[in-house]
Amino acid sequence: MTRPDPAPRPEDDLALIRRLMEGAREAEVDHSGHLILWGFLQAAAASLAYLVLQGAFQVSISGIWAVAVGIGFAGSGLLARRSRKSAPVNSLVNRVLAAIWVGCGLSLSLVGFLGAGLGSLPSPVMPGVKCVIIGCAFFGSAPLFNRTAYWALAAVWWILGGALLVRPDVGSNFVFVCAPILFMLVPGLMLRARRRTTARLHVIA
Amino acid sequence: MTNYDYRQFDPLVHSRIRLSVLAILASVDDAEFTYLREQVKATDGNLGAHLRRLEEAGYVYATKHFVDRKPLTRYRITEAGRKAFRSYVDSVERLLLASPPDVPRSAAG
Repeated sequence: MTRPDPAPRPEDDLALIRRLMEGAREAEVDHSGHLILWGFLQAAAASLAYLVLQGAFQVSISGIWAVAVGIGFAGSGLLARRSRKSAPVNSLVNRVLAAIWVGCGLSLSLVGFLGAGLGSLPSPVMPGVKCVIIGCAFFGSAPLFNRTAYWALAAVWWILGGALLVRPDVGSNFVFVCAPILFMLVPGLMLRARRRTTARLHVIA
Repeated sequence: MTNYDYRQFDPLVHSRIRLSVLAILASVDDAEFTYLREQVKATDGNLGAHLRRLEEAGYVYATKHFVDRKPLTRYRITEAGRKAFRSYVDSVERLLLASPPDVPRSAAG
């Protein structure tokens, strides 16, 4: 049984429609899981690669990255599948965001495995190139979230990439260990904590 | 304008809650029941009844999933629903364009 509505006015109808449609299009998307996963995997792989370069042990650096990227893509696939079922709204924003970050992941893989793997790109410049590509992904995501933090993260990754390209030595690998933690993993954890707080407030309200 | 002849509109769309649901679903791929409930500010039972009416009319369809053992229902607008929604919005806009603006009460005496 549905309750009868009070007689609406056409102006109110149009205002309501506009408000709801804009709200639904701008409904926030949670991609903190991807940031946490990739931030952790990149930091772990870069740490191992750094230790190999320091002579701590001998394994293939390409092998380390292959495992990290494989786990990353599989994990992101699972997160995306779960998100499609549980997200409040699936919209164009989700699809654009997925395209940006899948494109970023594929670009990093191509540059890493073909560029550095085949020797056409010198290994020491790789951290700088990777930072620049990640900066592009944050820059592309920023208008979708409309948050200053995303523009700031894009700027940080680009500045870091520029700095690492100017000084492409072994130390740049160490910087690249810290960068995914500080500018991907930590923002991801902060986003997640913020979303949980918002969800709790919704329940209380 | 304070009143208008609602009989010219599709009665299934001409309800605040059903119109709200269609407006949301027309602008996204799909939406979860809880999100719809929060946006239209209705109770579970009331929204469920309105959604059933829209489903019976073929304007929306539901898919059910389990996430962490919790059942979730997602709704998606159909082509017929999109057409009915567009037609409703066009009618309201036409009505507004054709009508003279409100006369303030004080001026009307």
